[in-house]
Amino acid sequence: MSLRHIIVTCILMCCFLYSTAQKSTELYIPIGKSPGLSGKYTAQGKVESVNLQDSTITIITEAASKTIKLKGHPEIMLDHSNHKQPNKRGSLTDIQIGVLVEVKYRHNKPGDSIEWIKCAMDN
Amino acid sequence: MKTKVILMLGLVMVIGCLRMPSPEDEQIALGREIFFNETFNGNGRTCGSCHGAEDNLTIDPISIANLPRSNALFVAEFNPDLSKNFENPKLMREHALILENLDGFDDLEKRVTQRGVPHTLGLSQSVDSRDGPRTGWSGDGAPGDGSLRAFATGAVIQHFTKTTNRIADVDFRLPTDEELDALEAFQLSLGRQAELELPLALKSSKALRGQTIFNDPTTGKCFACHNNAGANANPGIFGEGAGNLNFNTGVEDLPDQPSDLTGELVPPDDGFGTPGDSTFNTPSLVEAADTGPFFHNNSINTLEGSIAFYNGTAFNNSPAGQLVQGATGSGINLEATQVEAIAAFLRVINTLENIRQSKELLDSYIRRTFLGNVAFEDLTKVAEAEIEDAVTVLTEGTIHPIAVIDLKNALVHVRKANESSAPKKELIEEALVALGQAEKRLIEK
Repeated sequence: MSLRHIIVTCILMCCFLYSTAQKSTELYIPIGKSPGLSGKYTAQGKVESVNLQDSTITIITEAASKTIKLKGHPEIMLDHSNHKQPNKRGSLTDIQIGVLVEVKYRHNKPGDSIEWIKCAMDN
Repeated sequence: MKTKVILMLGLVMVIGCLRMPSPEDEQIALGREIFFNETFNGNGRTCGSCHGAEDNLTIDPISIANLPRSNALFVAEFNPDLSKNFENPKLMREHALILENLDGFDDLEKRVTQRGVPHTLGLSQSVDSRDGPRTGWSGDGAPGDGSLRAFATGAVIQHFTKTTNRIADVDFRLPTDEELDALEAFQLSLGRQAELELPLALKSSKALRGQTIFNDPTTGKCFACHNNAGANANPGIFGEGAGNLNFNTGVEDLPDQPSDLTGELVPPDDGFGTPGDSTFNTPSLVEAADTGPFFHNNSINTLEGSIAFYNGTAFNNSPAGQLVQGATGSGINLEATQVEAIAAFLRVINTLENIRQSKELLDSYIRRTFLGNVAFEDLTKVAEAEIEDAVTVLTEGTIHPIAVIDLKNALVHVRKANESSAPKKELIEEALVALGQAEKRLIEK
């Protein structure tokens, strides 16, 4: 195995590593408060429509209405903090029309796959 | 009128005695205050509960044994809401292991990892990589944007919570943006602010030989992942700007791990990501000699043991070991004398760093300059701790016995300064002279 082979292998390994930052405590961070992300690299808005067949949701942000393709098996986090209850993991069926959501794109690139969605739960 | 004059004179005296801090210094000082005193409305812990100021910002079984039972570190032992699924007191007290739910909080009983506390020294030289910041033992310690700045948010959620519900504004409060900025500034100010430039002109023939082996691609090969004995990969091998990388070095495959011998539940740690890829982040070696135990799970207690690990089957069969064999034609096979030589090298560079830090602290005291990351009233106490470390590190390696005498001499003066209420300036100046003498015995300047 040449040094060049090793360099290429390590670069490829590192590229893979970049895609998976620590997420476990993210569950307990309320919508809009993710350090370094909220307000910069996430989209927040109320859900206008959900299409499970196409795996899309449309949210109304401050700027405009945005349809987001839910590719990449995003992690769904249910934010109960407004009601002083523990946050939990959820599924796409928990995304209801009218709820406030925050969406993070993988690699912080809009249009890329979705890394996570937080949904503000009513109860 | 008289009161006004007295106040003005007092102000002039204060200004004359202490250099006014810059905004950067003030932010660092705020970060220090938060780091050691802010509980974020949680269970009473602070960052300093695990990252003690006089323990090189880490913790080990000996420092744990000296804490009072009421210390917030032991909250799982006296808070009924945290008595289950928060810490394992036996593993904490015996092996300084802290419970983390790195793969999620779905199964608090079984889905846990037990990790040592990494120190926070030299972070300005060890967090960056071309693929993003690397924090914590697996390089993925922070939520949010994954930065050092965001790390504190994850730490509060994991370690400061009042109950395992972890509800924001009930069990803790999240750090504000200002607090995160200050904490980051404080942590980046700690320890080394530059990489070493090897080879150093060391005076001990054993340490000099150890440095050669460390940098030799046919024997030690250590420089490949620990360039200049730091935390960053060698650019010649891994590419320019590679920075702080992760590797699977097989530590998890070691038999007879001390934590396993307790009989307590210690699930395998799968490292970076969820599910993990079994890689762990490379730590710096300059700070190694006085910040054991070693590796992410504190599986090795001694510096020499941590070096000898790379001779063994666990490393040589690991992906990182296989990479080394492929690139160099062989694994790492050091004789005992070579292990000790590398250890001597690491002990000397650690001692030089301890001397550097203690000189900086004492010099700051003498010149009344503002050192944001240590409170003025603590300068000489922290310097005492650094010099004590230097004495221990050299003595345990049976190296530089005359320098040890110089260091003990410095320690006598600093301890007298700390104990007496008499003016300390002369004592500190004597300590600085002794430190300078010790330093000259270790390295050509």
